[in-house]
Amino acid sequence: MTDWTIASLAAAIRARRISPVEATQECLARVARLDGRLRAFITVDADGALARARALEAEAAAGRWRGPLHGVPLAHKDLFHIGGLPTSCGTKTAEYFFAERDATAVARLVEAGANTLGKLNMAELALGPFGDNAHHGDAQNPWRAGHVSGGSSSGSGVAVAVGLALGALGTDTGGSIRLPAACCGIVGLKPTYGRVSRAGAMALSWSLDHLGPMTRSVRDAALMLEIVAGHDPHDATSSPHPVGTPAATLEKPIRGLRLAIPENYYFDGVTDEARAAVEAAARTLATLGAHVDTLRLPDPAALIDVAGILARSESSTIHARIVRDRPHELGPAVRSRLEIGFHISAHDYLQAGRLRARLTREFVDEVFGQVDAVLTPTIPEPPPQRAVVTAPPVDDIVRRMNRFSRLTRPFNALGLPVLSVPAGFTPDGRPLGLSIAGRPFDEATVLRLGHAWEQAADWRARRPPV
Amino acid sequence: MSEPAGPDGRPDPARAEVAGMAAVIERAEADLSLVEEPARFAAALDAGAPDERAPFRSSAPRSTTR
Repeated sequence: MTDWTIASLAAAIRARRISPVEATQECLARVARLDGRLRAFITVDADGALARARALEAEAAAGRWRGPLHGVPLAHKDLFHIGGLPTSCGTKTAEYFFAERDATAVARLVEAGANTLGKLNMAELALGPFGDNAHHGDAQNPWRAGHVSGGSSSGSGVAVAVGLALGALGTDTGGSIRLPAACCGIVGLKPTYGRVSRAGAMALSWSLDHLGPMTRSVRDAALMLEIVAGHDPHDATSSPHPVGTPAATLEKPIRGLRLAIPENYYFDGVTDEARAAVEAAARTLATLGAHVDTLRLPDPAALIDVAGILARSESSTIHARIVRDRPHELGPAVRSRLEIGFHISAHDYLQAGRLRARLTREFVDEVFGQVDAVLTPTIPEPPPQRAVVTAPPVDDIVRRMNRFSRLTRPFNALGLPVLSVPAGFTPDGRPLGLSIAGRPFDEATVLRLGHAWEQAADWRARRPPV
Repeated sequence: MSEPAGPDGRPDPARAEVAGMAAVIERAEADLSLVEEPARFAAALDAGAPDERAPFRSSAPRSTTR
């Protein structure tokens, strides 16, 4: 299963070279063999997945194909409501979250023929970039034991990297799709704010939450995006902008596209390895015809503070009950981050929303008036040792969390589409990530650039040593 | 500058973090236009989209005729 992508498996099922039942059984066998150690899953729905696979197989035998994902096994972060399965949101409480209907994004994948294997591990309440979880076990980095898997969509990153599932949905409020994608050596797309419906997913911060695909290839991310994107009457913030067919334009040459490497902020305190990986990718894209130059970006530090005010205020509001009634159930760093929201004034919260509008307008006008995309590292360093970054005291843990996600958080405030693609490995085998940010609703261009880099680089052939 | 204190007068890291984040508001609010609203964030994304505009939601004022 480690050699399949969503695209290749879907084609093989359609060509009857492998059946939905065989694909599901193979994934479940890998889960049974590996997940006791990797901790990617919180809930494995083996019986349900096999029953659905048999139904999908019968439909295929009768010539009835549900859609482009017919029979493809997926799994999703454990904050999406999926009928019949508990939704812990990474907390101690098995059924922490409930929605009136299945998450729209998951339902659209199922309508397209996907088979949901289960629910994936995550940081408690999606608050944490390292992949540790005291209730469900720490999601293990599949490339190097003892190092962080990234978070908060940690299980999504691990499951896709080792072929427990062919793809996964994650959520991203400050980097929670892109960080585990980079740490686990896979592709993660945070689409434009509003591109994918948030209905049926636990909210952490309604102003900053984004849903998106985590996959083995850029093509798979494009395929999943085409299915899950689009307006949803159950999410008032979902956008009516048509997503088009980004998978169909992946092969379009990138010649003439203008790319920027930031002069400020994005390389401050970044390790030499992470910097060199982005520079190497930029050189490769230049050889393919892109114009690469440096550019000074509008102050990202202001965006970090604006995002912090919005995220803290909204998350403490949404999760006030568990913070006030059952604080002992929360990890100390999560509790600390939520409690801060109670100290933020209405004045500062509202001003942050107003300032965000202005900063976004300025960024879009200034930056995308000059270039088509911005290249940055996803993580400022290779995945660090989990025991080091999660060592107390709590204030130090929170500082390390903030530092590790400092390159991703500005783009949540801006709402722009950002793709994280593997950018290479350190000599000791830890993955690095390249982020490609584009103009609003222009996922097609960031996916095209990511695909061009992916095809030119040789990282796709590497497999985690599990 | 000393760290902001809690009600008991001892340094309070939570209040210090809030004060740090809110400093951006103090610096910027003198320049924030009176017409600026949080909803203009979505309008900025719409305006920056390539090629087409949102078919159902527009940031531009709409006129109606009777």
